Amino acid sequence: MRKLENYIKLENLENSKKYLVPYIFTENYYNILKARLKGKKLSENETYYYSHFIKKKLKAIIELMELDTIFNGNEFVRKDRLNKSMSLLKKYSRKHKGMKTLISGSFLYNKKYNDIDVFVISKYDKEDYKEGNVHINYLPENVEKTLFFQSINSISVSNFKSENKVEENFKVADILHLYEVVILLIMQKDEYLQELRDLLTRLEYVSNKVILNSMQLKIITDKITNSKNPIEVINKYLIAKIINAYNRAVLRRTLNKFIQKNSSPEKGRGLYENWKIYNQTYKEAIEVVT
Amino acid sequence: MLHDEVREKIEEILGGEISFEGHFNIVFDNLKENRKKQLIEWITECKEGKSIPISSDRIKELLGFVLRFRSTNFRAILTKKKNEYFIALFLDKHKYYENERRKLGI
Repeated sequence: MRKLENYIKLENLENSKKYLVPYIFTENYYNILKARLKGKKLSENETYYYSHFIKKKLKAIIELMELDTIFNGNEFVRKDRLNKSMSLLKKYSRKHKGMKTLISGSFLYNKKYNDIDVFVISKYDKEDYKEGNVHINYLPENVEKTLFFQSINSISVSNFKSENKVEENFKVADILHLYEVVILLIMQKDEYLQELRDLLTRLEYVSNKVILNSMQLKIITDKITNSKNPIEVINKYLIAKIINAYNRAVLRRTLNKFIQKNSSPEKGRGLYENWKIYNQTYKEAIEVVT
Repeated sequence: MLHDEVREKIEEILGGEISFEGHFNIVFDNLKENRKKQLIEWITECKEGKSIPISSDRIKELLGFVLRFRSTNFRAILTKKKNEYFIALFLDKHKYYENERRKLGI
């Protein structure tokens, strides 16, 4: 269980005062809790009341109402996975005391799944590890403001409610870099799923401000990876998304810059096959926006 | 094969000026033997011009070769100054490789 006061917002505490005082808290206890939420330093007496009476009442309410388990995207979670996901969340929350923990991925919504992904937000850079088919991934503290986190959180079972919004900006060049890597990996016959997921999530976000949940992302990535020509599909997808995402002049300028950088190979070499594909895509995108 | 040995081998292939970046030693020592072999083969292919690069939009004349090891979170980036010498071999986890790519403009 996370710090108890993290379950309560100051605003909600103030709004629900008439339901709390005197039925659950005395006026004095209410004021101590309020001071604690405001981050004020408590006196020795107040600290005693907080840890011996207020905290225990809070814990009882949280346990009673199961407030320590939050389901996001409830409608997508398979009913036969609810109990297991709740018990796993309890297990790994106990193991990582006071840390924000969530379970996400295909285990929650798909009949078939490989691993169960457990994410733990930690202020320390810890090594990920596996316990059977449970993969424990450590994420940095600032992760809640990333598109990646918002995407995995949209179908999840967690011990906290994330109020954060995406605070990442993706420039045209960032998108094109990732696109070039994805195409390169496909041409090298390497695995490319993780990079493809990042690309698709970012493209949907920059073009429509849509945050794909992991199920939607899986449907799109499956369609692309199972298509006859994933490169062609990705090229078309990229064009369709970027043309609406950026200022046209900025987009044209960046695309031209990328065409230029991809036009002079090493001496004695013809244009690399991947560069030909990139430039063809960029030219098509320029044609559309011109 | 351990990291000291492979560093020498890579220097033999690419030249002594190559630098090793990321958590090279730890990651290399954690790779399975077949992945270690794969890394050497890939470096040889880059040297022989058999691999395809990405060009940087941030650093002039910089080429980057990218390798993804199957079923692992590890990535390698080999950088080269166009028509000249190899610069650095970066080996690390996905999250660090993302930052490295951003820094290199590839």
